Amino acid sequence: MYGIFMESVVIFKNYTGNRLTIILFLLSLVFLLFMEKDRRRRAIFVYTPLTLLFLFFFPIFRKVFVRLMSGEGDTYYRVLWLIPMGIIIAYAGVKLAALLYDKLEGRISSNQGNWMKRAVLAALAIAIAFCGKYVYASQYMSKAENLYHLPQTVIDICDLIAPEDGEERIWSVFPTDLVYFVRQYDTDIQMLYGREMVEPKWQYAEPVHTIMNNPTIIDIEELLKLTRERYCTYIVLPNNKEVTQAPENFGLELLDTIDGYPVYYDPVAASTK
Amino acid sequence: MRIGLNLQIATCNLGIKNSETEQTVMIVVKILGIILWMFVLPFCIGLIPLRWIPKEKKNIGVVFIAGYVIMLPMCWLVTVPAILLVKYSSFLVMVRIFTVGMAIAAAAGVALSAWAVRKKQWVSLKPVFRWTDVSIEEKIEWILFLALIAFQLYKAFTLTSFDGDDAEYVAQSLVTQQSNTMYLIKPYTGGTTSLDIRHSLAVLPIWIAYVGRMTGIHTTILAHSVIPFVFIPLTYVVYFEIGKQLLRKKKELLPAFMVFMALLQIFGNVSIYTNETFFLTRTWQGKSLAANFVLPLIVCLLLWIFDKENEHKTRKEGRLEEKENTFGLWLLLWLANMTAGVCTSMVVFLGAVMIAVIAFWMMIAERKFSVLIKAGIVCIPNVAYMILYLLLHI
Repeated sequence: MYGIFMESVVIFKNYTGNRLTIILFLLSLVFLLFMEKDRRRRAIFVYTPLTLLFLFFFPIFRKVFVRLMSGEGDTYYRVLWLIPMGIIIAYAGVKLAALLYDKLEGRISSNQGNWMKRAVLAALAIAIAFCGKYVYASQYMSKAENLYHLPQTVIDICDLIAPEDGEERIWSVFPTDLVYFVRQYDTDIQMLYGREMVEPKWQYAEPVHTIMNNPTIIDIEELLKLTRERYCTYIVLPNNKEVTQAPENFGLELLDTIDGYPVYYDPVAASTK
Repeated sequence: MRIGLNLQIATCNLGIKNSETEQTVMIVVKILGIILWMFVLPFCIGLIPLRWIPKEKKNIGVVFIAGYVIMLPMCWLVTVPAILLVKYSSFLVMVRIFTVGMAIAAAAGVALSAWAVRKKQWVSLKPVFRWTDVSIEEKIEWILFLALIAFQLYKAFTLTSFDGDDAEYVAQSLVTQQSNTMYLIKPYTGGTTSLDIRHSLAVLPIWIAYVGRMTGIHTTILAHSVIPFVFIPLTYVVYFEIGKQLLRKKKELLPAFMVFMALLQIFGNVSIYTNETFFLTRTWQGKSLAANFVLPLIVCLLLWIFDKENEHKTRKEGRLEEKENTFGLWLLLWLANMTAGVCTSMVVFLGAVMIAVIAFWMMIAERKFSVLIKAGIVCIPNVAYMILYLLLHI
């Protein structure tokens, strides 16, 4: 039980990213605990979050969750989505500003009171920015290259190899960094392996991917042995790896090189279909 | 410029290879299609429950919310049987039935409104924003808030966020659109598979495929470049309603509340797990819609319900009873629970937990056991969904 509890603590820490937003939330919660007089508001924005936090750290709840979600323990952090942290912070912030204004009314001029209120609101806005992390600076964000929001390289390669209307779907092999995008653009292009093989956390193995994923060199002979068995007619090689032999030696035709990715057609595989 | 060029490329890929004028006409037709399928029809459908919603809650934003929480469960009710019962081209069957359903529902919404007008029972939809009623300071805050929303929409359109799950969800929509089958082809590779039960109950990718089919737009463009323009404002409508309810007696603080909410989204990327991160980086995915639209909507509806019931109590005590019950709000809560199922299986369970906890504390606060019974009734869709999920998994 203690082990499960500690796992929940780690999940909670990861969720908060060790940033100060969680402190802002806890301060807001404490503020509402003492200052919110409406019992219905307290039920929804104080007692409910506290109960959900308790449940989150409660080992039996985690066990039930994992059991119901067919063993998906790595998504347990989503329990924290139930706590409306943003609403609580924003509500506590405006409530604090109003409270200060009301308390100081009569003691200072209305103009001064207004400035005090504005200062509190501005301070909270700055605190939100300071404690949080700017989403558009994320390492996963980049400039969209087209309306699909997919790398233009992938689109260019797909346009080159995609079957015409009415033609059969094709099988292909793509480098690991491109497999995520191919079938978001054109599902007539099938792949010998997809995202399920390239995610390290899933630890699946697929022989073609094993060859393509070699960190330095790709064994073309071994690769073609496997791709031809599976009638794979298009092979896109990585743009940053060596090959054991020139693919042309095995009958492959270089269609084009797009952004450094050589795109090959395999007539041998096509003829054996 | 690049985006503009690619718009042409995108339309070319949709089968338009003629002159520039024809391309422009096609783009306009597609934009009109988006307006029809993502704004006009949901709005008409959202008019259906209007007569059961308390009059002070009736506004354009609430109709829009109601439209989505009716339309998406309707999509589920058509799609899941089609997946389970139709062997070939199940998507075609779904498209036909759902289109008829949408047409009937939209017509019903318009007819009910027309009937209400005729019977002089129509309550004009209040504008969500009355510009002349607010002070200069509030106006500045509202402008700031709207600027933050515009900024988020601009970023959603011009930036792309890498997310591995798109290889599944976005490809799933495209597979459906291009193959007319549902959950029978592996989105990652294209290989055939037995029915993917785990994902087939969360049918949001199918709804995206449906809109793609009806508008003729590639589903990936729809998901990445169009849907943020619907789901981001929709989410802020929910926050607006929550803020309005919380600050009923301090309305002047509402714009500041909304500014904070917008800032919390922009600076909420403290980790890849937060709902704020999902909101702005995975807007089109069911998980994001569930975390940022459905769960706050549940909070909003419970807030409305308990405030409304308390108002009745106060009025009764003051002998000013007015017959206006909360049935419509409980109905919306039921539909919100069904919408959770459209988005992701997990939030069906989590939504029920949330309602149970809030209802428990509300029961203590109000000293009314009936709260728990009503909360239990609105969770029937969640229980049914979980039973179906477990049965299909066995």
